[in-house]
Amino acid sequence: MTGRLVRCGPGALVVEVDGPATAAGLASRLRTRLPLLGVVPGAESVLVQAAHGSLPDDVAAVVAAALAEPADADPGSGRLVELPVHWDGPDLDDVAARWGTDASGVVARLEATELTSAFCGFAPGFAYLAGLPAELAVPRLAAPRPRVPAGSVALADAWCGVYPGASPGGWRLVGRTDVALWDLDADPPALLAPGTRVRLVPA
Amino acid sequence: MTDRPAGALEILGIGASALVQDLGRPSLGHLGVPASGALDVAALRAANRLLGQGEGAPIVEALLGGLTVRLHGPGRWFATAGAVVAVSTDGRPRAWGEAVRVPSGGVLRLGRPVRGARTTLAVQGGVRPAAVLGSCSTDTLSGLGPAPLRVGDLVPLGPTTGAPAVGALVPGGPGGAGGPGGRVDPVRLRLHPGPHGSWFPEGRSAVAGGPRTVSATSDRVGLRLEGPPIPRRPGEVPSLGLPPGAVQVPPDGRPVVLLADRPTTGGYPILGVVDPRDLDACAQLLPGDAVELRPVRG
Repeated sequence: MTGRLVRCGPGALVVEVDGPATAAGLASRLRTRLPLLGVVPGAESVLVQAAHGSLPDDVAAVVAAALAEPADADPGSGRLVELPVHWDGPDLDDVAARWGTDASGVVARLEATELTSAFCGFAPGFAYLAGLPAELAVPRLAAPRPRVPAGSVALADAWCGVYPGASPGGWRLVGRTDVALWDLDADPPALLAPGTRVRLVPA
Repeated sequence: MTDRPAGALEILGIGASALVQDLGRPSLGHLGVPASGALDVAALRAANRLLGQGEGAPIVEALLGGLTVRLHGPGRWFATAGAVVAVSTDGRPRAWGEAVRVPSGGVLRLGRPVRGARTTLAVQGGVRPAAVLGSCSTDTLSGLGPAPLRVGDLVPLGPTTGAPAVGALVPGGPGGAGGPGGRVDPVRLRLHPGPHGSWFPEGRSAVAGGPRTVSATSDRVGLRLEGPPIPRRPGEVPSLGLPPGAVQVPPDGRPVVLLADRPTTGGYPILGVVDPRDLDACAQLLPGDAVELRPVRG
């Protein structure tokens, strides 16, 4: 695995890699090696940050060692979560038109795709699920909805996401699940932590 | 055994806002959990040191002073740091930046800052609403942690530990590390290179066109700066983790220095990253204050 280290001042560095699967795998390995630091995967990068102050001197060497490790534990090896989905999202027909199919075609495609949580963001427990090809990318709504219900299954670019709680949102809504995505009493509290594999199944 | 805490703070008055903060949740960013925590970490540490207790004990972060509290339970020591305010207990003037004893039932009041924005009020034993994911911090972005304090709240205090450093001052006094910094005008923030240099045709020197001013829309998420727009390529970068101090430049070209309650990831290009040692000063800036982002090497 190769990566480019970008120093961001004394307190942070970014490791640029080739894609979401590499980023999630590298972040997972770095977290066990650097338990005192924040390790945050992105779409094509991993951020390593000190909570307050400076990174330790050996952090670049630790990153280099993690990059040199075989990436055997990356794709396909994470925990599998099945999410039962009611396919009744208000944007289902819109997405179907963009994909050149009908609503049942969208559902069939999504149910046939194994997704992987690449990284989290936007809200606690909101996972960016990779797996759809670039040609199925859809734009965000021109104007975000002021309120998207919790459990909404949504698409934006080539990402799939599930809203853990009610919030404003600009993704296109295709369905909803009753499964709790965020539970403070669980460990980890995010059901779809990076690396988790996800299957959307009929509710 | 008793369910009643040995002590509590009754909130009698609030300025612009009063939030419980400690060192936050810095290690859960990969789950989408913002770091949160005290905006002026040096003030948090300094005030707790004055009380002889762990530097990360939860405090009240009072924006624009105005905080008034009554102590329930036995007498305790309190300490202030951060923005400089008049301090009084039961109407009697007390010293800012020192440990002060408040008797049972006593009322401590903070005036409006004469310098800075956020005053840290530390209490012996710590201010301890129910912790969430290991922290008592209120995260204003995600809503994690206790709700912002409101008049009438009764907030539990922890058991007292350690002995206060009676007579000691926060380091350097009002201009020192526990205060709003050795203020110069404009406040200079060192700007290190970031991951998106190629997005800015003028590089980090784009910020060199004189001081910028703090926007009234600044908050715990970010210090928003007004001034000439910074030229950048259109579009977004692949979402990436956002370190503290990252200077995001949205399409309108107006930079935002990301602070404690920033989102964990984002897709606006990053002009550079403010030195962590300069972030405490950001907590003490007010709308209209002049800020200079000064590029430094690596």
